[in-house]
Amino acid sequence: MDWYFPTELKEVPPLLKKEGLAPHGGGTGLLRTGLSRLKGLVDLSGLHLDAIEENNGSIILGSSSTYSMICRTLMQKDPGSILPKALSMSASTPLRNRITLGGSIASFPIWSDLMGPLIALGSQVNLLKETETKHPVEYISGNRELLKGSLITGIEYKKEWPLSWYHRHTRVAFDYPLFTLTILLKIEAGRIADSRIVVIGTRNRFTRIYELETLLAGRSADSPDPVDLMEKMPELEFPERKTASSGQLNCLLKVWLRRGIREITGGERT
Amino acid sequence: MKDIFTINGQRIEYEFDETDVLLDVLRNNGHYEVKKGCGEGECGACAILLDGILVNSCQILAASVRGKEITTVRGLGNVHDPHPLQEAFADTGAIQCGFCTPGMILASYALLKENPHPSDDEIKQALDGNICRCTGYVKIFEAVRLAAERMRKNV
Repeated sequence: MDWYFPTELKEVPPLLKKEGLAPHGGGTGLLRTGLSRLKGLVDLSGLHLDAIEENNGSIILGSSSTYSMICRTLMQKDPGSILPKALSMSASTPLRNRITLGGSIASFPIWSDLMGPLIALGSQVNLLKETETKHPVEYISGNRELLKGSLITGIEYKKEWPLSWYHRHTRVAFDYPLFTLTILLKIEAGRIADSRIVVIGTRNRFTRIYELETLLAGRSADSPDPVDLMEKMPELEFPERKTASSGQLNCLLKVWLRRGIREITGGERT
Repeated sequence: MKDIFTINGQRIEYEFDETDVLLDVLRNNGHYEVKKGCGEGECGACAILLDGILVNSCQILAASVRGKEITTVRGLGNVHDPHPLQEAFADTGAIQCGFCTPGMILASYALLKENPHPSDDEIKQALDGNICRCTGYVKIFEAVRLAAERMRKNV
């Protein structure tokens, strides 16, 4: 296997065009998926893609930023952000010090703590192929062929969701989650003005619960009464697992949705 | 392939395969203080500091660490001149079989470098990637608290 060490971004697209070459951002994903299928690795460490910046109301995260770097930096730059809440629960300290944003978007494991928040935030993924393009992360998730021969250089999102809540549903703390739940809310003049609710771990990897977002709109933030909302919420389809059926996971999800909406509208930051 | 590694302050050239992980390169060259546990990044026995950051060496391709500083537990101190963490682990009996100890000490070192006054929750989180198969966590936490106290007094 060959290693390539580009020092400028423009060197990367011709390399990724070659058969069997993959980008290596420093994370742990490639070792898990196996190196035997690869002919070479393009090491990204010389490209300085780990910057985390704020520009004109947007947060821009470089693709080689690790989960630990994101947590540490966003606590300062975007204090209410969902990302530190979610990513600090992921894996363990030494792994969070290595797992990168780009690798996690490219692999999108079903237990991802990253993708729910990114989808909810309406993040755009910056891709470099012959030219640079931007795509909603939701779109990338459903069109994986876009990533072939491309380099994820980073993501950006508007810093406009100060109220956020995250739940990682596991049997024990260090387990992979059965699902994760991301809730973002905007409250204006005592009413819920907008929301984003995303579940990771459903049969299609993720589900944004548009129906619930619509039902929440305009409700009083003092008493959003999530009990009746749960009755109107559609059943989501989870893959059948040894540890929990889709029906059980729907029940659990509704419990956590109620708790989440109650806590977030009560002003509690968890 | 060959590359130069900086390990505990010393520059040295090693030969290794393109797909070798750093853990194997270190152990193949006598760094037995870096333990081989699960090989999947779950147990923390192979922990090292890479440019001062705690990582699992079993999850790092050796070819990708060029130009970075590697610190193993041997780089913190030795039996003649131990680091306060090494002393505290011995003093509190937090060593038991000793297999997880290098990783535990490096994880604790990374914590105390950033946070000299860690709470119990912060200690727990900092050591969340290190598994002790003797289940001696109580004494390990005691050791970290003791080392933190001694290090604060010495500053």
